[in-house]
Amino acid sequence: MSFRSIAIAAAIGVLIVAALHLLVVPRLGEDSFFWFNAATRTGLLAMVAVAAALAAQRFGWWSEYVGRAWTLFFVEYSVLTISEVLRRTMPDAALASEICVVLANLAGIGAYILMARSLSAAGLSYYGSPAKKYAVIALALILAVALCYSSIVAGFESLTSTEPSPGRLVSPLADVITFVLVAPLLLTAFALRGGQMFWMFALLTTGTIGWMINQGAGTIVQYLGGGDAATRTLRMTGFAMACFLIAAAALTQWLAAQRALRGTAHA
Amino acid sequence: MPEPNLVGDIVTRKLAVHLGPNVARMAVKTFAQKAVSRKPEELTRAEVPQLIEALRPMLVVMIGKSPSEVVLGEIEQECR
Repeated sequence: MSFRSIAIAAAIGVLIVAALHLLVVPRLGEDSFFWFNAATRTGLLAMVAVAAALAAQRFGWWSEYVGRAWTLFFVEYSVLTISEVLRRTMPDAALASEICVVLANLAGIGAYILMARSLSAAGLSYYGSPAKKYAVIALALILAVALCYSSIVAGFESLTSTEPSPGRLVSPLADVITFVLVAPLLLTAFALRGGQMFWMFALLTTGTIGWMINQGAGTIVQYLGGGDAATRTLRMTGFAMACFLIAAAALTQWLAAQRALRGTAHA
Repeated sequence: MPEPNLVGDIVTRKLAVHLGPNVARMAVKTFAQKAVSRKPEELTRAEVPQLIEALRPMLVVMIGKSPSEVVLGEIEQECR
């Protein structure tokens, strides 16, 4: 198993899910589509939770810096998996669903902050000029707000509706924070190029871009020209990209540790 | 016994496997200055233990505790 082969396997997984959604889903009846969607989403989220647990366990869960980040990813994706099951099996359990959304988003923000701050926490700085760093962060902020704007507005409107749903606001706000953190993740990956840790940060960054695609699918399709079907497929592709690539990031973190433990001769 | 100006190269090379050449160079420069107030090319064999102790927290954050011990152990061995 190599870092490259993990990345390739993840990319193939994304393509398979996208192809299934494009070619098979339009032929499914309502019930079949419901279960196909439920199985796909729940399975992908659970996969990330398992991969994150593998990485977290390798680093002693909460006892080490990198272990804390993967523990929070494990919490996020475990709760998202539970939330997905609740949505399908107990659609009236609104409070439980809201709690899951808030908890998952808080855990996710924590995980991303820890990962984005890795170089700083290690006493190092980004490679390159401060101007470049701030330009990348500014671009990420603009993109994040653009992608999440309509969801944020809908979230605020939901708070004043007859059935307020805090989760509908927490989720896009958490997405904005996460998407802005793509910038330091990208800079960290760029700095670490040539080393084994590059793979983990590169996969985590591109996985997060998957969430951006998932969130902004409607906006993207609107600009490119397309209907509801295109939006659904793009949304699912972004979702698959996020899950496969973040799971791959966890696996590469675990593999890098295993290789380091065997010594540089085996790196 | 390695020449003094090769100690920095050895440490950079070992770290580069995990952190890439850019961050490895930055790390050796930063922590050589912090630990023994030297540039990487001025490091001597006698200063390796201090450098290793300075690098340890950084490496623990980046690659974890157990892998760090292996890498730093390799550095110490190769610099003897």
